[in-house]
Amino acid sequence: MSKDTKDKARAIKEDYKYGFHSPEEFVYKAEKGLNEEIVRSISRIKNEPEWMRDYRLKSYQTFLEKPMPKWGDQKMLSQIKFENIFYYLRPTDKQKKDWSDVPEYIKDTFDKLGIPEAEQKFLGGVTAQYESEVVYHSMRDDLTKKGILFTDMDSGLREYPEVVKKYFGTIIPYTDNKFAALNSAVWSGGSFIYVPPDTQVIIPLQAYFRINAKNMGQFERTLIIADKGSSVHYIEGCTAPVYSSDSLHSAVVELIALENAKIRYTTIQNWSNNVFNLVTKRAAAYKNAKVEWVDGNIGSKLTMKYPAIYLMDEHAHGEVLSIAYAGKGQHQDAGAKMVHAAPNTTSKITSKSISKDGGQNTYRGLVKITKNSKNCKSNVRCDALMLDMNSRSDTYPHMEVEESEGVKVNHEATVSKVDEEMLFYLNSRGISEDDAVSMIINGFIEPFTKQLPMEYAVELNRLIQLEMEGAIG
Amino acid sequence: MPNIKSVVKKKKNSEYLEDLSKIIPLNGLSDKFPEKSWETWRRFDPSLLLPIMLESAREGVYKLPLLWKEINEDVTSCTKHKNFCENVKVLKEWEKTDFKFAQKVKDSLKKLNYNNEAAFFSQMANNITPWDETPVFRISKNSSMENPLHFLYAPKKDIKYFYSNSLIIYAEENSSASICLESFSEGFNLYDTRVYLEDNASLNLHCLIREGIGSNTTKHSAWVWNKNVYCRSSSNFTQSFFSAGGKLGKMISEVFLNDNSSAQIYGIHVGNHSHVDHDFNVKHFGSRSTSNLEFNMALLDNAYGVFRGKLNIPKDYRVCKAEQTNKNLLLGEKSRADSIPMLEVLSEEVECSHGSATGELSDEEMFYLQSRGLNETQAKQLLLLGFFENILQKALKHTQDKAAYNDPFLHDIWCAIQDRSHINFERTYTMAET
Amino acid sequence: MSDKENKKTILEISNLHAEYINPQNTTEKIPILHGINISIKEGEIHAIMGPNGSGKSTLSSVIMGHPHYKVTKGEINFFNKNTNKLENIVDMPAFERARIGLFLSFQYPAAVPGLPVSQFLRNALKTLRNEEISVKEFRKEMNDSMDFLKMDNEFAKRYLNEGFSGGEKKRMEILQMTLIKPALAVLDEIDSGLDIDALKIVSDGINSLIDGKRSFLLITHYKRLLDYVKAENIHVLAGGKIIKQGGFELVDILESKGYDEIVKEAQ
Repeated sequence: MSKDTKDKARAIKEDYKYGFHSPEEFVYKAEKGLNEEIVRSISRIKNEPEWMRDYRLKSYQTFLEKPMPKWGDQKMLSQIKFENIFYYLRPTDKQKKDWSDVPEYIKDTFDKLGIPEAEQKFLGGVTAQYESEVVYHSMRDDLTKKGILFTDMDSGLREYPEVVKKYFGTIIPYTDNKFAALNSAVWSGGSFIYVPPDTQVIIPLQAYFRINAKNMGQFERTLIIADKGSSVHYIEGCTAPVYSSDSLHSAVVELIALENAKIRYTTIQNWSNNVFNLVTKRAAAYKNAKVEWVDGNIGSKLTMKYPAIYLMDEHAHGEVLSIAYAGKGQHQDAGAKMVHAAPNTTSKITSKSISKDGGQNTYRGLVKITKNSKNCKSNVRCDALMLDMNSRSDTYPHMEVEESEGVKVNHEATVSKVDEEMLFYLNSRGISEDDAVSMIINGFIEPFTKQLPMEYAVELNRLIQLEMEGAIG
Repeated sequence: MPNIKSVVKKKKNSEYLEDLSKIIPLNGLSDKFPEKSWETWRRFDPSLLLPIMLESAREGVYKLPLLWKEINEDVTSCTKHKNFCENVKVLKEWEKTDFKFAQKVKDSLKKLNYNNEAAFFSQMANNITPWDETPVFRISKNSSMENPLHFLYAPKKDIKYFYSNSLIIYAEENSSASICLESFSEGFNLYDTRVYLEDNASLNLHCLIREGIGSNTTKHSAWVWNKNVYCRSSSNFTQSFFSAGGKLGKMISEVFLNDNSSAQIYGIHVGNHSHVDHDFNVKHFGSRSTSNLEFNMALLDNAYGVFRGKLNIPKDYRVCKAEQTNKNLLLGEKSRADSIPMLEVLSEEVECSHGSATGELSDEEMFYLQSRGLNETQAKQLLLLGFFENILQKALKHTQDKAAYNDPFLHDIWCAIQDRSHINFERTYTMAET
Repeated sequence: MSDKENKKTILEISNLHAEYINPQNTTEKIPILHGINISIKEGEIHAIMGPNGSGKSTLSSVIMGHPHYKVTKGEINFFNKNTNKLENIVDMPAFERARIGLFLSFQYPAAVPGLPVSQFLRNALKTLRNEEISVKEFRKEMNDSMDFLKMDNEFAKRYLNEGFSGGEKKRMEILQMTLIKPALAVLDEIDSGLDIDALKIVSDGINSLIDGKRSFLLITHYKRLLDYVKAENIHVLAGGKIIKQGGFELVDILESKGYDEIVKEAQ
């Protein structure tokens, strides 16, 4: 790129369009910081069964005992002030089924984010979480009739205690890591989905997560169970206002795909640049099942997220497809883990990252083929694009192969800048330098966007365009 | 050179055990391979080496004599070479004969610092062989050694000792040389090789390790090879590395590149009942520096091989080119491979790529060869050759004398590549088992 | 031939010197062109022939403004269709050159993964024609051109040049040319790697644009393209200089004597 373009490529993210916030209103707000009493009171307010309260308390102890990660971006991690966070904020008394019943200021927010509109157009069901609680939830009648359960996690626990008790925390135990322990202690909201055998949910279900208050901590908990032969596509989106102090988002997401089931979990994460996004996501895929994480990381200050798939039975298939965009002051530390714990399982990881204006991208990945998992195939591809001298891109892939028979594990990675020959070729057809760069970048992330539902792909392309507008001036 | 040739230090067992316990963190052994942390992922735990280290140390701690080896010469007749002796002296001697040079070497040592595990091992080596007593190989200014120099670390057969072998290679401006270090030591071997290239120097370094092959101590021998290379502007460093045998092995190779310098690293590892860990670390601290790293492992039986390659391009160094490729062949029922090719790029104008592939011999290829009348073993031989050929070609083209590799395994492979017919695969396949 | 003088000049290259700058090491510069003079008038078809390494591809890259080449001396004057003036374009960026009517068919066009052909073409045409083109209109135009060049309409959905065979890439270049309809098309070895059938199709594409107004500069090794596309002016390039100029008869001389002979004669 010419120096001129680089000069123009200064400010970015300045027109983050979701940065607005509404006045803070609530019916209950826990005091700042975390102690055992807050954990107890969350459980009390939610009127939870005893086992869940005990689970929370055990988790809280574990959270205190576990050290912070000694790897990753130590400088940023050390900036997390656990004592400055509000761990629970209940904005309204009751969850609504109709947008007109939702308090005006909250409805305004979601209107601006285009959620009700999207719901009408192409979604099968929506939950909208505002701070700690889901304020709106609704699902199309035909889906309810098919026996599909889609509620917020708290209602799930109330209404289907056996199912929740059976699966909750089985994929990600509270002892897994410090942030999983934190979530297990103070979780609130999130989605609970159960799809009965042989039921296909063709239109996507969506959850939208919004942080509004300052110094807020959001800890949603999601559990999706796809029973034998069923399929579901779940989409989550996240935004937050821009504040000078940091917020914390730490979710736990557990997916279970039983025999022949298929789950696709799409995330478009566009938190503002003051949100720490430290998320644990893991799936178990059983016989013939297929799990896909489609993971878009555009926003946040620091993201640490490595969606994992444990391929538990034969012919299970896992895919992770991710893009990460890191601009000024951002560090996207993302990746994927695939554990082939059974023969004849296959997996694919595709990761694309773009670093700009001093942004930092890190890919951390693991492909593990356990002993006796014969005939497993795995393919990993990581491509990183560097748009200027101040940015950084690190790749840390780990391949562990314990079985040899029929096993193929491939990994390829590149780090490069925008190719000059491509640029010149497009220029020679009259396309200006800036347009050419953005065309090349759109092409670069095309494998990702083509996996999104149409409406989202358009939105994402627009989003990236917007991010790039900083570059275009 | 008495201090190179003869035993330098022999301590009592109890003394040595004390030394070791000072260096080796005996606590925290239970914390081996903490699975959940990315940072410590599959770090080679030095304490794994402990039993072999102690057992060998109990027999005695030695410095191995470095022997000059004529090409195709029998191991038993290796001798000191006149020219070689002129060029190799311990640092203390250099101080007496050429103070200026000794000073240069001392300065260079400051730049050849290790970190992490390498520091741990180098400290251990230094405890046994202090800098003063470390042999320094000088390649003088503007000199060019046409024929490769071949050296041998040859221990007593079938006796396990703790050997410490330190060497400094110092290449002065505009010099060029090709050096082969061969070792078929037994017991526990600790190599510490430091290489400093001045402007425009060029060095091909070939390292061969055949730990305990052909003796009955293979299963109880281990080695650690620390290599630290500093390349000044416009210098060129080529390293080829072949390793086989031993129960446990650890290779650490650090290369530091300045402006316009380049490094090529080629490696082959054949593992058999072994756990060998290879660490490559290439630092591009100069603009227009290039590096190419190719490393293949063939793992037989229950061999466990680890490749960890790290390319680092800090900010402000432009137009660097770096590549790394790692291919692993799992041939045994219980063999396993870990491949961790890492990139750290903080600069924009770079071309970086890495690739890694792990698998077994392709069924289709086996079938194709068998359909042409080859039996299974022959087909395997040919495919294995193909697997190594690319790297061998590149590695060996840097030395004029192919036969310098007296290693039976490499020699066989090389001959087979030359005439594409004969390789004693059975021998290769079972060489470490005797 | 009397109206020849009345025709306006499209391209006027005078005393052009240029060097290649190694992107790996910008201090490394290799002079390649040593004083080129070529003048092309409206409606003329010129051909540059020359042995390998004579600077043919460099010349085409320099005309289009490739960033790895630098003009050290001389001028490239091109007739700007927007201002109706002959202008020196040496300092003009590549996309501006395209917008004033210049087109280069690449010998090795770059592949852009993820960018569909149709999207690329529509964007390019929009900027070059400086007007909106409806999707329907564009699709028809593109499909017509594709049919003419015997290209499968599925091409439009593929990513630009990614995984294209040599022949497909050449057709892609000609497809772009027929849609863009440039004032001057520089075709760099458009005939290399083509079989007889493909060469015929590509030549048809070129000939379909010949209307007495548009000009062409063909760069080639061989006579075979010139059997299909009739060039009146032949320039022989060797060692970065035009060593001989003449009419079509020069092609036959070259063919019978070979480059070596001609180069020797010129010396």
